[in-house]
Amino acid sequence: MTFDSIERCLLAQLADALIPPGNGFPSASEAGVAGAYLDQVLAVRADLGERLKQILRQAQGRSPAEFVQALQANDPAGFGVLAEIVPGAYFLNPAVRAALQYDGQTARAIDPRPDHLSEGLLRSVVDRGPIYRPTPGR
Amino acid sequence: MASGSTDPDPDVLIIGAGPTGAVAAKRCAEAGMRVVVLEQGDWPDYSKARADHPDFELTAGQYWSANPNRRKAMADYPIDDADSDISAVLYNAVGGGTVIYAAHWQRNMPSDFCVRTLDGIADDWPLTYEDIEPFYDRVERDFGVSGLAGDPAFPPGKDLPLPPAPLAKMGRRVAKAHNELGWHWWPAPNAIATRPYGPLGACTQRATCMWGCVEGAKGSVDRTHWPENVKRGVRLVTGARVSRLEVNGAGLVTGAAYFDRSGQEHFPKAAVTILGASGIGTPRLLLLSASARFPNGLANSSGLVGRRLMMHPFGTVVGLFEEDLGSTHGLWGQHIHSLQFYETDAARGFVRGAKWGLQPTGGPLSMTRSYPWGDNPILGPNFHRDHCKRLGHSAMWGIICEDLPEDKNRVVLDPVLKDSNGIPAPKLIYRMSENSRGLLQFHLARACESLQAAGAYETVIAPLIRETGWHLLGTTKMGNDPATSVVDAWGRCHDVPNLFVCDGSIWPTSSGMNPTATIAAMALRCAEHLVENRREQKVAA
Ligand SMILES: Cc1cc2nc3c(=O)[nH]c(=O)nc-3n(C[C@H](O)[C@H](O)[C@H](O)COP(=O)(O)OP(=O)(O)OC[C@H]3O[C@@H](n4cnc5c(N)ncnc54)[C@H](O)[C@@H]3O)c2cc1C
Ligand code: SF4
Repeated sequence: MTFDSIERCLLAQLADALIPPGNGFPSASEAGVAGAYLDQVLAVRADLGERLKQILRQAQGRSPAEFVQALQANDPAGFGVLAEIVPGAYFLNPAVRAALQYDGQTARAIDPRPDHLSEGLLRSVVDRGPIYRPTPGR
Repeated sequence: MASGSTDPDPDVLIIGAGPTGAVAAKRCAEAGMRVVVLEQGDWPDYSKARADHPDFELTAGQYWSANPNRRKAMADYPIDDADSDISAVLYNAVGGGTVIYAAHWQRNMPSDFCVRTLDGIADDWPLTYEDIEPFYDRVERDFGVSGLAGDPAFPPGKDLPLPPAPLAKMGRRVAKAHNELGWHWWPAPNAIATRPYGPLGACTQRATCMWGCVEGAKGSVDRTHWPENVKRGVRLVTGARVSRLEVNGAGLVTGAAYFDRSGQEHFPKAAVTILGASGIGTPRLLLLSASARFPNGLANSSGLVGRRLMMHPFGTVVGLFEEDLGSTHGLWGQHIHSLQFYETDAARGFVRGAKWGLQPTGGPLSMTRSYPWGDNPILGPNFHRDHCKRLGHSAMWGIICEDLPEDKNRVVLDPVLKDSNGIPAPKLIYRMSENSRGLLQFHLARACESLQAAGAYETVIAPLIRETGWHLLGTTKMGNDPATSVVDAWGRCHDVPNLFVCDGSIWPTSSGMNPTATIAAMALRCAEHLVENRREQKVAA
């Protein structure tokens, strides 16, 4: 599914209402949410495209912030589509990921040295004694 | 029934290749029985596990979605949940729910087997903790369970085969806080290999356990059981959707009818049939198998097939911490558990309790979602401030509440909705009880206190998450009296002596624990009994 420049422009405005610039992070549109990253999202989530088109049609001529608020209040499923696409696209941007110091669900081998033995943590649990009710008669 | 006969029909026909089917098939095959398993799903496709890709969070909820109504895969049947407070979630594949389970491996406590005796409500199981204990020990070896013996919430027992997962920063914080509060905690048991173990690789803490473990570290039965079962001679038929069980004039089950992927019907026969189709799939099949002889559904003279559905209302509390806890990663899975408030305290105004499991919260997109953040959206003017507060700085208690059995909570056949083979779909009628509501409220409040004591400057509650009906229990009750139960203490149907139910349907009460440890142990116990008594077993001629 393709989105033309008018649709992308509208999406950029809605997206900025959800992710404005701040705390040293770019806004959604600055991060390319309505550009290449939208295409990347739709390449793996084609299921979201049709609904996004509808939402953008409804948003035409409306104030982006008000439209997004109304969508959230009146059409949770529609808002859910926007809430998946916009941050989903945003967090695909490598610069955003780098700023978050997030490099994905990478492998982190388990340290073979157990950390439950430190500071006598378990001793006090054991000292407090059993906390279960035994089988009656046993 | 004996192994080595020349009869071409199998000794045992099992329906469902989840943990129940896997464990039962293993034991029967080990004993030399010929086993055929019918599973409507396929082998899970781990090429769709995308933990290594930047789009992991975007795509995880597609192929690995827990909700069959959204997943809509070939293997799925729709579930009408319009009249239920909770949506059922499950996975239809070789491995069943374990393909996507979080692998929290919890034994039940002794009191879970005698609720009537101890708390004066619901029912006792026709067995005790001590009866099932040896079977826990055995399945824990097969599933590659990691954890630490000596937990004072349980009777003393054997070591688990693998050392526990790290407490991690979040676990150490909460452990210290609980020690100050005098509250229970313990390194959590998980069916997750902390070291290479048999067919399992070592966990690398990607926190993607419910969406395809790329390391093959999670003890799901498509890895721990099925390859070995198949090697041992079990015939596993995938893409086989069972539509009903067949019964002969003597009232014995002769086998099943199933549709293959092309829609063609088959009628395999067997001496004995075992149902392991889950707390929804099993009663659905029994109700679908109504006949002139069994007008209310097979094995349903008690009228209890489908009734007493229990789904474990689930809530979460997330704590926000100044410290970077590294909580994008870890086990999903659990790092520690707490059973401090598990046992009944009548002063609380409800009976029974809940188990808490502490786990990470995941990557950046997960910070924007309703699970586990509830109705606390952060998209909008303060997005970055709130997002930074959550990402890596949050830890979550997941709270599994015991549900008590009520006849009115049930699975029935939907009068309209059908699956892709035209077979009536199940419909859930389920309302959360006052007891469960009170219980959940109480536990959410205590879990907030726990995280605050651990240093959380803010807690976020998701009071009841709808799509969390992942524990499907109680719909073919086990008991000694045929008038008030569907199966006996060995899973044998009172009405049909060569039909067994071994899955979570048979639980008389639900406990407040994640159920797979007990489902697997019960399946082994039932299969062991069948094997030991096979010479006396009544079979369809
Ligand atoms: C998201 C999620 C997380 C979970 N996390 C945990 C956890 O952390 N710890 C825990 O203990 N439990 C957990 N569970 C629950 C656990 O997965 C189940 O308790 C367990 O899988 C039940 O085992 P079972 O064999 O009885 O049924 P299932 O695993 O549901 O297997 C039943 C099988 O039967 C097949 N079947 C059903 N009907 C038919 C038919 N008509 N014809 C042919 N085949 C059929 C299905 O396709 C399925 O494969 C989780 C579940 C989910 C969904
Ligand atoms: S945390 Fe461990 S078990 Fe879970 S997905 Fe990662 S490697 Fe697999």
